[in-house]
Amino acid sequence: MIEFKSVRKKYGRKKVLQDVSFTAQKGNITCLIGINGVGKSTVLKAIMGLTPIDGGSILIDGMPVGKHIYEHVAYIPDHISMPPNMTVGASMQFMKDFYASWNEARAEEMLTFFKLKRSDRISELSKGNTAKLNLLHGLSLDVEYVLMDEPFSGIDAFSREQITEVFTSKLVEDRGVIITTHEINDIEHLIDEVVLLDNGFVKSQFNCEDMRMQEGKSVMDVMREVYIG
Amino acid sequence: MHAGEDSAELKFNSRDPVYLQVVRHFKEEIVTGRLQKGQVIPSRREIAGKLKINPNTAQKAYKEMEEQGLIVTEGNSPSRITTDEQVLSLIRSELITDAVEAFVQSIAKIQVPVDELLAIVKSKVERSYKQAAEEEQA
Amino acid sequence: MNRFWKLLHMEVSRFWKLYITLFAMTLLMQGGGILYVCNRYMQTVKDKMGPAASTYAQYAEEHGVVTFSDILSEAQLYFLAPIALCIGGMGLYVFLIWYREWMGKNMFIYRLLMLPTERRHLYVAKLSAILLFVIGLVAFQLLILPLESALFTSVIDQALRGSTESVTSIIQNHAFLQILVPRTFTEFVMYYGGGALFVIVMFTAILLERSYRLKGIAAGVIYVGAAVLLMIAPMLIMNRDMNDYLYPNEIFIIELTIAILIGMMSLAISFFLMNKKLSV
Repeated sequence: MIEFKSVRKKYGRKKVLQDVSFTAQKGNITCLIGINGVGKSTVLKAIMGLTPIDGGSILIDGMPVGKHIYEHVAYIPDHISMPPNMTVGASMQFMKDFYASWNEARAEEMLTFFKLKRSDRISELSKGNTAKLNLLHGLSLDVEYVLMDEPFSGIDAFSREQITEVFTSKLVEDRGVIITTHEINDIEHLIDEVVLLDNGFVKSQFNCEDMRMQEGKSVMDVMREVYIG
Repeated sequence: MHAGEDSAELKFNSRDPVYLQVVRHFKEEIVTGRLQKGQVIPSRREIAGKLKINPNTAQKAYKEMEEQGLIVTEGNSPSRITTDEQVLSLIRSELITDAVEAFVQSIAKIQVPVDELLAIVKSKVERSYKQAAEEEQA
Repeated sequence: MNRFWKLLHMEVSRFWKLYITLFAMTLLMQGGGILYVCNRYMQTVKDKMGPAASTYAQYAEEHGVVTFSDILSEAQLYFLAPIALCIGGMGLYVFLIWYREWMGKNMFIYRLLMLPTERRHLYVAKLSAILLFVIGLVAFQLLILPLESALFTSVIDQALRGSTESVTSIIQNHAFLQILVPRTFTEFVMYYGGGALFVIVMFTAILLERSYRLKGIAAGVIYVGAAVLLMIAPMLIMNRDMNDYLYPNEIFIIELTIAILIGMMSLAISFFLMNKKLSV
């Protein structure tokens, strides 16, 4: 379980996270929803220790953030983070060199599924292929949690479909997944939990199926209530 | 014929629990005969991929279907549609009753005479079946 | 530890092309400069040779011989310019080796900070890389000195040449090479230790900036200023009258102690920043 307890964070004078508490369970796809600039990415970065927090605490299976989490949590940012002159193959080798949790067989499988070529340079990949390689780097790690920042934004429809397919496959099964998004439409049926962020606060956290079952409301309905009503 | 092939077209509404919609979809497939009794159905993982839903939801749907006796899973072998005739006929009547009840509820407000109503229903349903048959051929 | 070597290997391989360029530039400019000066010298000799001095031997007797060191000081510009460029390049790379990770849309720093290894390995790999590059450049300079000396012998007629100099004496006769290749251990510690300390202090300033951005720049400048002040403090005190009672080796020990303290503090601050404050 990933736990956020009253996390606060400001950039300069801007309070990005004022009081953020939520939990993300293993085996669930938890979706952080909020308009852009609301602090969704900051939440993910804070879990990974990529940006210090000003208050509160973050626990991953009861442990604080530190170097030991990097074999247990994978973060897929909204951009690839490998030097542009590296080739696809070299970037995979890099991951293999550093991570004990790297699963080469799975990486190969995804390479084939995404039709990526090892010899291609990262700088020469299309937007969609870059996103796919980025996904490959993160999902080929045998980790308990995967964090994805806006995996669907700014890519073509076909790549989008392929990536959706990844979500419904064994690649995310049994893991705890946190994804951020500002548009819910495409993935409404994919996610288990929703955390609505607004102005640095968590407005609501709920289970999608429970919400439909008990109140007959779609995620969009709840969002409308929270943000407009 | 596999259940998954048509299922790709399944459109979910976002206000009912997805897993119940999956269960309902299977019931429809059984009632129309697209899924035969005793037929092997796709694994949870396959169905999740085909319907573009999360594997947890697929799992929940299968569990629900098992509880309702719709499918049976023995040990490690793949799940099959039940061969229990009683359950199968129950599904059929359940679907029909559900649909008719919903219809009756809304039509009751207009108080249409039964004969007139039946005639309209007859022609509408016939037209709809014909259309469906043509679409299937095309 | 294994991952440290991989990180170091990566740092080296990422600099490789630029590094080779520095080598090539040094070789071309120094070699070219020496060739040019040697040829010019031979031309002057030929121009000046008249009835009185019709052979090189006679000329040498009259005007004296020329040594490689003479040519080197004559070719000062060609010789020192590439060294200055290398020093400048390395100085710039002290910054680039960090800022590069934040540059571009790819931002490699995300990945580097998420590696399942101590973050200080990343720091030490970068520091070692810089020091290795510097040592490599010096080694290369030493390696091409005999080559340049061979250029000298091939162009200048034997009769005009003075006694052959060893590489050691070439270095000792050269004001700048003397610093690159120190004669004593004390000098080595002074020059290279000083250089390493400079890099370590700059790294701290860079990490301060990366952690606190605008405020970090101020903190970095103050930190570097304080380090410089501490380093020159003994000299300032000593230069006042009445206090002039320290021997050079006493000064050296004091400076060394201060340097080690500054270095250790910088490392401690840097590791702390990397673990707790650094932001992508």
